Amino acid sequence: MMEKETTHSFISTSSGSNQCVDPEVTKAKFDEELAAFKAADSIHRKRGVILLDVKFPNIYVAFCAHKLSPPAIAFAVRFNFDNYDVEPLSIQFINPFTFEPILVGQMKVGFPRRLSPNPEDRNFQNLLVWHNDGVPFFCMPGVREYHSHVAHTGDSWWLHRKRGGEGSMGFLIENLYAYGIEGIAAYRLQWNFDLNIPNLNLQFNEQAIPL
Amino acid sequence: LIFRMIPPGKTCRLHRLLIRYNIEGGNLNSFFMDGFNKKSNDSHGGDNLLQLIIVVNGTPYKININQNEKVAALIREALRVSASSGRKEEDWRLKYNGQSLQPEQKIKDYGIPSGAELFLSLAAGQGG
Repeated sequence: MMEKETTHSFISTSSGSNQCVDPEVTKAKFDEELAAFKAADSIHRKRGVILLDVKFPNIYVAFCAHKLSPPAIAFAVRFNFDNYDVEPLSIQFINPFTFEPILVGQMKVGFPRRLSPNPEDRNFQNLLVWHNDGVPFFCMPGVREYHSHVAHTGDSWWLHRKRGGEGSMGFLIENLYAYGIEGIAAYRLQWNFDLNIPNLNLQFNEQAIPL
Repeated sequence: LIFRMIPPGKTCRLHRLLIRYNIEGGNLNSFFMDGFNKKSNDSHGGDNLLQLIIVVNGTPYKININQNEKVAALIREALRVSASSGRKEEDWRLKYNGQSLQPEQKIKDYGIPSGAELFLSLAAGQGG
């Protein structure tokens, strides 16, 4: 994982106080995306993608490592629709029970991405990066935090906006699942030197990590 | 005309079918269209026809396709049905049971049963 410098507060990008798009437009698109998710609800659930709550302009979703025994909630996110789709969706990593934002130290998944199509090549890049205040974000085109970051000002949202569905909630869920869940193969137990509470991590199968 | 060509007291299969359709309230158009549809199904797969659920960027669509077709044809059909335009076919990834399907392979090479759920997603842009 690498740290990225930032010039803005993460919270200010998703507070909902800067709505400039007609709220009815954003609400219509919110309903449309929610209906699309619900149409495939049973399919999502089988893969461990579970709708936690809906409160406009936010949708809360948990991603579970369903192949593990016992299954684990690997992470949960809040999709924020402020100004959508003049602005892309915001993804905030949250505690699945309290919906409080979490910091990078609380994340167990780094969202590794394969850098080469050669399966023997073991070079991966984590798509989870964080601001210097420790707030993590999913660094990929179609995500508000990516496009608003100083490192990506040359890659405007308008170059991606909904082309083939890029940036839709369905697109983001597919990618959060592909890089965050699909490769999880087992629990990995690490003991601290003082033999206190063991550190439980998630082990990825490198062969299952997508390009 | 067909009825007139058949001698009184004689019937043929076509004759019986026409009578049946007439009695059941059908018409010649539905009779011939049924025949066309049966033939159409046969020529497009018959036993080889798969009914699949393709989840395109999170939204499910039902797709009928011959399992002898290539995966590329399945991707093309899913993009057509879902009206997903704006990106090249090569930008899309089709997965079944977590396995990426290669466009040049035939669908039957992957042993996909009818009713299976496949996932078609747009490849993510460069990030990180």
